Amino acid sequence: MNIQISNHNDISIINIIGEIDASTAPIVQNRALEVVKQGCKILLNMADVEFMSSSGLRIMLLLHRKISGVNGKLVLASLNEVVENVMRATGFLAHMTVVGSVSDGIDLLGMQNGTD
Amino acid sequence: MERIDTYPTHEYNGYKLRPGRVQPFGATIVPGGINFSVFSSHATSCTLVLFKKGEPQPLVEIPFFDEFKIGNTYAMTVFGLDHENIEYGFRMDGPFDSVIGHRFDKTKILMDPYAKLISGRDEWGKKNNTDECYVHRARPVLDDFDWQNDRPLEIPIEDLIIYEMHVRSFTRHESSGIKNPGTFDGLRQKIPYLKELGVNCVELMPVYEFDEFEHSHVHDETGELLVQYWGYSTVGFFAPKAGYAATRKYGMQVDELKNLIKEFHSNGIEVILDVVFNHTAEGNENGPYISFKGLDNKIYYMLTPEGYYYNFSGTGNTLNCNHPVVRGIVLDCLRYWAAEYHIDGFRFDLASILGRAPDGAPLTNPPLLEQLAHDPILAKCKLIAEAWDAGGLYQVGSFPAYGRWAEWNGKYRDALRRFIKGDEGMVGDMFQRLQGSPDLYAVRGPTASINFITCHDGFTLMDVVSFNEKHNLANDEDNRDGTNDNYSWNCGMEGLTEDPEIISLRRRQIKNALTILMVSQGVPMILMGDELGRTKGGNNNTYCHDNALNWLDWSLVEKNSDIFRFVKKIIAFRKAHHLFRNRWFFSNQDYIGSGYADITWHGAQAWKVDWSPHSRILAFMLCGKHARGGTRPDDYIYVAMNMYWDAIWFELPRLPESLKWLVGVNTGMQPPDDIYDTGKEIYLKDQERIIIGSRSVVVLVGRKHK
Repeated sequence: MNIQISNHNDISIINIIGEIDASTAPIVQNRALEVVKQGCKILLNMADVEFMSSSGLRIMLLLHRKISGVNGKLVLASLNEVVENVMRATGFLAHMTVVGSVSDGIDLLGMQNGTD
Repeated sequence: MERIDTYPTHEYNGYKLRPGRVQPFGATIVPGGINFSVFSSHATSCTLVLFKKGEPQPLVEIPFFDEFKIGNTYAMTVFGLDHENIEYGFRMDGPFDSVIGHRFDKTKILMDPYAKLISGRDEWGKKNNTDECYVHRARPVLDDFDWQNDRPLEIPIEDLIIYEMHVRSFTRHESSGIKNPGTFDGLRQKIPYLKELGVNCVELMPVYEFDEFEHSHVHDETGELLVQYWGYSTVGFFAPKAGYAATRKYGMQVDELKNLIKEFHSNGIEVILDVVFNHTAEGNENGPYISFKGLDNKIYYMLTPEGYYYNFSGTGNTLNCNHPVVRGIVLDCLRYWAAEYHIDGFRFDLASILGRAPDGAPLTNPPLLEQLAHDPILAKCKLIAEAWDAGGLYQVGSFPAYGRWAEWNGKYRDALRRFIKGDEGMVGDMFQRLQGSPDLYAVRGPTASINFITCHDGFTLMDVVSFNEKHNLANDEDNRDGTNDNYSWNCGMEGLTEDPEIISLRRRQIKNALTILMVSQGVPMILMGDELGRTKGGNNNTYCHDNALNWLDWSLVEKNSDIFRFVKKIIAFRKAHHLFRNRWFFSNQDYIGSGYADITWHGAQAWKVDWSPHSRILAFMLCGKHARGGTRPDDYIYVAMNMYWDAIWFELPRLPESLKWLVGVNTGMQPPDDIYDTGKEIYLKDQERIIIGSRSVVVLVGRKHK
């Protein structure tokens, strides 16, 4: 599990590399929570996440709830097909904002006022 | 503040433990660990067996210490387990004395009867290398699904149009053209089709974990592997069938099924589960140990005085439903599905068994049925009984209902089939069935009657009109299996034919049957595929076929588009008229002051019914002012059924001055004139009489017309 956080204007881009399961989900959660604050804009780059277990999906929903709670925005970019299919079948996808690429995510978050 | 019970107090082989909580039963994920609770009245000791997921041999076996036992319940919390990668089971030690009924065997690893997630048959039709030691493996699961605003729909039962279906069969055929065929997710993708059809309730054939390999064998002649396909043989009552989930590989069947139910609800469609509490997959004394047999055989199964298994289910054993412990698990199970899965109702397979005492005798006041009827969590769930069993108890009309239970009305099915095929002496019977069977449900009302022509057991509707006899050789039982009482008629030729007259008659008979079903009081149920004229080649018992005999062929949507069109429209017709959906029986009186009784009966002559045995015609008129007890004024409706082989003139009852008869349905006409949309019915030029073709049904609508 390797997590890197970078900034683009007011957007925090979190690159996750590795599989998210019960053992690594808390690591993702803790790192992501570092940048959760009032009105935050967070982009998760999922391009290098080949697998998410049930716990991984729950962490995504948990982050979504926490970020919504502080009027922030969470966008998931570059989900691989397998992960996206699992998210669709289990209903997690319906809660999430998903874009095809990091640059699409930057565009989308850039257009949004983080405090709405 | 932090709770002190999140810390261990005991240790065994490096595993940190603590005395557990006895409730809830089963495995519960708690802070820091997993709590396990299991009970047995007659065991002498219990061991928790943990596996790393998918490993053939156990990771560790942890005995329940004496201080972990309260009453007959063993409970312990184990800390530091990765809940995603753990499988668990129990070993029970205790007496083996088959005459008394005890069958404890500590060499067996037993599945938790409260298991909410079960691995071992994850991939449909594939065995794995763990079979030898422990086949069906319990796993812990998180019940934290985000339902948002969803809750059960609580559609009034009289407004339901039920669609009985099998999850795998619905989308497994390659013609379904979807991702993840044969799964919950596949079914989810086809919800738009069900919406287009117009049904507002799906009844899913068993979705609890079962073992498709139970009794599986290869057919000597066809070479086909015959399996436990339908799933009427439960392995785990709390767990969805893993092989039905597209996400089985990730163990996410719980979330996938919940997501399916949530999407059904958001489309206005209820979900009823077909539940099989009459027996289990453990068979008789020769069957496997899965769970109950090794946990407390004498409690869970009905046993003869000699210790053998009673077989009221026809499958080897009978669950001891009215033992207090078994009642408890049945109630826990149904509450779990209602609360955690938002299930709208349950259909109970061979439900008469649920009314038998531990010695098999039918009870007048079965405590289980009473308890379910009055339960606060199940209070709005539909409870539907298959009111018979394989031990000869037939309770259609007399099932102990407590004001709550509805029944599959087998007498409706038989009467309608016999009437449309032209049997003599059916007019009096149909008089009852069309009204919601007041002869059977006088006190309970028409909503006690689930009306159907076909269900998974027996012929499809196309086969009802295409075969005189069952053709079950593919089942490898020399055509002995399946019912002989099909009340079917092949319309002149057994099976497939090119004869255009026979083809046309069969289509008309299908339309006749579905029209009568949709204008009957009570709750209509149709079988998956009947809306597409689906055939099973005359096989009336396809329980064992994982092939095109059961898989729905979606090319029928095009091929039989005339039938599909008609069914959509006749469903819409029922939904457009309150008159067909009364909660109470007709009074045969005019209590509104319209000048007409709520229902009146007619024949070739208005106001006069030919009740004689050779009569094959019947007509009735519903007064629109009496719809739903006069609360929802509707059009007047006249339904005329001519099941005679010649055309017959029917004299029409006269309408109030301002109203005219319009034709809504005439099955004797070719499409598109067989049925019209509401509001587009055709004005009838002759308001005095109408000719109704041979074996045809006409429905007229009486309303104002310029």
